[in-house]
Amino acid sequence: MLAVLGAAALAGPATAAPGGRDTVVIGMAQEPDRLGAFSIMVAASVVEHALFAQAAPFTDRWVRMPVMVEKLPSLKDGDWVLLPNNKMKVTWRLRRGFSWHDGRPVTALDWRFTYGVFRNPQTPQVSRFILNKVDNVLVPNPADPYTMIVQWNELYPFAGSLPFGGSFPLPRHLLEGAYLKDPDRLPAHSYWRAPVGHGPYRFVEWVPGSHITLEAYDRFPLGAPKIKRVTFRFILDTTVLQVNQITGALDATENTGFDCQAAEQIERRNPQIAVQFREAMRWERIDFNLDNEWLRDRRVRQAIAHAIDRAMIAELSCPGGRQPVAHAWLPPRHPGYNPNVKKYEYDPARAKALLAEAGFTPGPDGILRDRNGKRAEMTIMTTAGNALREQIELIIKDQLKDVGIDLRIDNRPPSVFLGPIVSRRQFPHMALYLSNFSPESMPFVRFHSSQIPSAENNWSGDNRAGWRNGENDRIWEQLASELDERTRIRLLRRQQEIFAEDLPSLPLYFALRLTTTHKALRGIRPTGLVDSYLTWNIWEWRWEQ
Amino acid sequence: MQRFLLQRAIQSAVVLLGLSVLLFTLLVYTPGDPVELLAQANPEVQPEDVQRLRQYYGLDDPLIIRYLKWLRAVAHGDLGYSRTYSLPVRTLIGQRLGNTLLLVGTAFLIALVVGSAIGIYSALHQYSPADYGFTVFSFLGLAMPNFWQGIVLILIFAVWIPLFPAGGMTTPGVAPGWPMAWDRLWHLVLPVAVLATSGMASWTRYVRSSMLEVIRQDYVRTARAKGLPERRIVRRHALRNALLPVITLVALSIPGVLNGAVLTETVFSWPGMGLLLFQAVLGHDFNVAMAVLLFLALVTVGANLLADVAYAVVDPRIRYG
Repeated sequence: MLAVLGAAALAGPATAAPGGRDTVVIGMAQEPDRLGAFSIMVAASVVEHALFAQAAPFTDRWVRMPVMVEKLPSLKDGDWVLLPNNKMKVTWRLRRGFSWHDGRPVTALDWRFTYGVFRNPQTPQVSRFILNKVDNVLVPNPADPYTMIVQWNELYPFAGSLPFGGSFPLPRHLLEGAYLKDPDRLPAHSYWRAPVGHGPYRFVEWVPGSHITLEAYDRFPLGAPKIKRVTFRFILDTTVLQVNQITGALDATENTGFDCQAAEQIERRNPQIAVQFREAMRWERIDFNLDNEWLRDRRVRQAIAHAIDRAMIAELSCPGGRQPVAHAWLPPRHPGYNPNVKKYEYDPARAKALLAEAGFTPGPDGILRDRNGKRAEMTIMTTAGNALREQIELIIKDQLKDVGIDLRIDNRPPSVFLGPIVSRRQFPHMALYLSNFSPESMPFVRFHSSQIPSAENNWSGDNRAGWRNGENDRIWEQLASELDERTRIRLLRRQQEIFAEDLPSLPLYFALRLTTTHKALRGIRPTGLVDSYLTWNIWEWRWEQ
Repeated sequence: MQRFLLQRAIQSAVVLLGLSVLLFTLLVYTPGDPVELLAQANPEVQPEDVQRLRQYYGLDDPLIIRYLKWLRAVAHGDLGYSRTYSLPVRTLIGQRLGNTLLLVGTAFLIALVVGSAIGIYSALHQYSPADYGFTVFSFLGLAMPNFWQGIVLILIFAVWIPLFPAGGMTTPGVAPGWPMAWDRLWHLVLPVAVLATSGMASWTRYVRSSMLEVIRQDYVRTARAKGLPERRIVRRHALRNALLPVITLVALSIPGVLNGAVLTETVFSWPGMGLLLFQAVLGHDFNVAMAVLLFLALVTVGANLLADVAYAVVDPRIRYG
C-alpha cells in the first residue's frame, strides 16, 4: 500500500500552493444551504458578505459603516422623524453606483421589493422581530429611485442602523416575476444556488459538497477587489479542516469550531498562519434553575459563585490571559458594560458561610444537609462531547465538593441539550452553555419574567433560569423603545448591577472568536460578531508582495 | 427460479416498507431540530419565529401524517426537497452517487484483485514468512477502524510528508480535461487506500481459506498425480473452485463497503452519499436522510438477492424451485 501511495504521489500534481497569489481559499466547517436569503446557516452569511454588499456592516470597532447608503439616518439630522402615536419615519439615501453583477443598477425599488418578500408570511424569513415593527417601505420618486422611506409602527432604538432589518436587497428584475406568480415557490427558485449579487465578488461556481468559487467584480463602487478569486472550501470535520490549514491548502478559516488549543497548534505547525483572537459577545455561563428549592435562595447562588475559581476556568479555555472572566452578560467592549457590578471572587470560606446562612449544615460524609436533612446533591448539564465544557464541569465538581456540595454531571448530545433540556428548562439545577449577542441586542426575551418558558406559553421565551425581578422587568420594558443612546447605556449598566446582585446565571467568561489567516494576506479585520464574518471587508484584502 | 425471484421480490418490498417505518420514526424522534439550533445561535430569532419556521418546514405535523405524506410522495417518485441544500433530493443524490461509486468502486476493485492475489499466494505458501506477514497485515486491516486509519493517513501523507491533499475531491480552479482527471486521481489516493485496506484484508482471509480447502481436495491430488504442471493445477482446478464461494461474497459485501464509505467520506470531505447522509442526519435534513438510508437498505436487499441468484448460476448443485 505504501508503494502504491508513493508511486501515485510522484505521478500526481505537487502539493497545492496556498491558492496562488491571485486567489484566496477560505475553509469552513459548514456548507451553505442557499445564498441570498432565507438561509439558516452561518456559512451562507460568510459567502454572502463577498457576493452582496451590505447596507451598513459592523466594522472591527463594532460601529456601523455606511456602504450602500450615503449615511445612517439620525434624529439629530432630521432624516429620522418621530410621529404621533409612537410612529416613526426614517429616510434612507442610497449611494449611487452599485450595480447587479449583470450590469443593472441597484435601486430603492430593489429594497422595496425585498421588504415585500421578507414581509410575506409565505416566505421562510428567519427573524421577523424587526420586520413586524415596520409598516411600509416607500420609494417617493420612482423616476430617481435612490431614496426610500421606512415607516415604523412603533419606536425602535435601532431604526437608523438598517432599513428594515435586512442587510442587502434582492434583485427585483430577476425575482419579481417568479415571486408574483407563486410566492410559495420562491424559496425553491434556482437563483439561490447561483445568485446574481452586487458585492465585490460575483458568483462563478458551486460544486456541492466541495466548494464555491467567486470572481472579482471590477465595478464594485468602493474599489475593485485586489484579489482576483475567492474560493470557499467546505470541510466538515474540524480535525481535517485544521490539517488543511496546517498544510497550507487554505489561506484562512472561518466558522470552524476551533478552540484556542487547536488554533495555537496551527500557528505552531505552520509559521505562515496567524490566529486572530477576537473579542466577541459570546457569553459562556451556567443558568441556575430558580424553581429549585435551594437555588431559589440567592445566598446559595452567590455561594456557588464564590466556590468556583472562574479565572482558572477562563484561563483553561484559552491560555494566556486572553479571555476575560465575565461578571455579567455584556463584555468590556460594549458601551453598556458596567465595571462596578458585584464581583464574586474565588473564596471557599465565604461560600461556606453563605451556605450556612442559607441553613445548610455539614453531614457525616462531608456533604452538606439542608434544613430538612436532605443531602446537598446537585446536577450540572451541558453538551456532551465538548471536551472543554466537560473539563470545566470536572473543575466545578471538585471545587463545589470543597464547600460541601455533591455535583453530578449529566451531559446530553447538543441537539438534546440545547433542544428540550434547555429550552424547556428540564435541567434540575445548572445548565452550562453559551449565548450570542450583537451590539444592538436588547435581549428582552432572555431576561424579562414574561419570557420564562412553560407549557402554558408553549415553551416560548428564553428566560431559562426563571428569573423574576420587578426592577429588571421595568428596565427591559423601557429599553425596548428607548431612543436615547445615553439613557439606554445607563439602563443597561443598572440592569447588570441587578443581574450581578441577583445572579440568576453564573457568568463564566466571554468566549473569543477565532479565525486563522495567512500572514501575507493583509486587510483582514474580523469583527468577532454574530452575522458579521471575516469577509465583511473582502474588497480591501490583498496579498503582500 | 422465476417463482423464487417473485417470492424474494415480495419479501424485499415488505422488508423495505418495514424499514421505512422504522427509519422514519427514528428520524422524527431524534431530538432537536435545525430551527431550535438556529434560535440558539442567532440573537435576533424570537420565540414566535421558531414557531413559525417549525410550521413552515412541517415539523409540527403528527408522525403518522408526516409518514403518510412522505410515503405518498415517494410512491409517485418524489423524494422531496432538501431543506439544507435547497435542491430536490433526487438531484442531490444524482450529484453525489457518481462520486461515491468512483470512490467505492475503485477501492472495491483494488481490494478484490490485490486481496485475492495475496490470498492465493498465502494459501500456496502456507506457514511461510510471507504468509505470516500477510496474516498480520490482514488482521491489522480488519482491526483498524476506517475513520482512525483515515486520520492517521492524513497525518502521515498530508502533514508530515505532504504528498497528498488532506481531503476534498478537487483542487478548486483546476483546468478541465486531463489536469482535472489527474487531480481527481490524486485526491482519490488516500480515501481509496483506507477503504481498500479493510476490504483487502477480508478478501485475503476469504480467498486464503477457500484456496486451502480446495488444494486439499482429491481432484487436485489427482491432477498432481497425473503430472500436470503446478501452474495449470492452480489456475484450472484449484482457483476456479476456490473462487466460487467468493463470487457470492462479492455481492454480500457491497452494502458493507457502502457503509464504510460513510465514515471515510466524512473524514476526507469526499462529496459522496456517505458525507451527504452524515450532514443530513446532523442537520436534521429529513428527506435527504430518509432517501439515502433507504437507498442503502435497497442496496443491501438487492445484494442479498443477487447473492442468492449468483449461487444458483455459478454452482450447478444449487437449485431453487
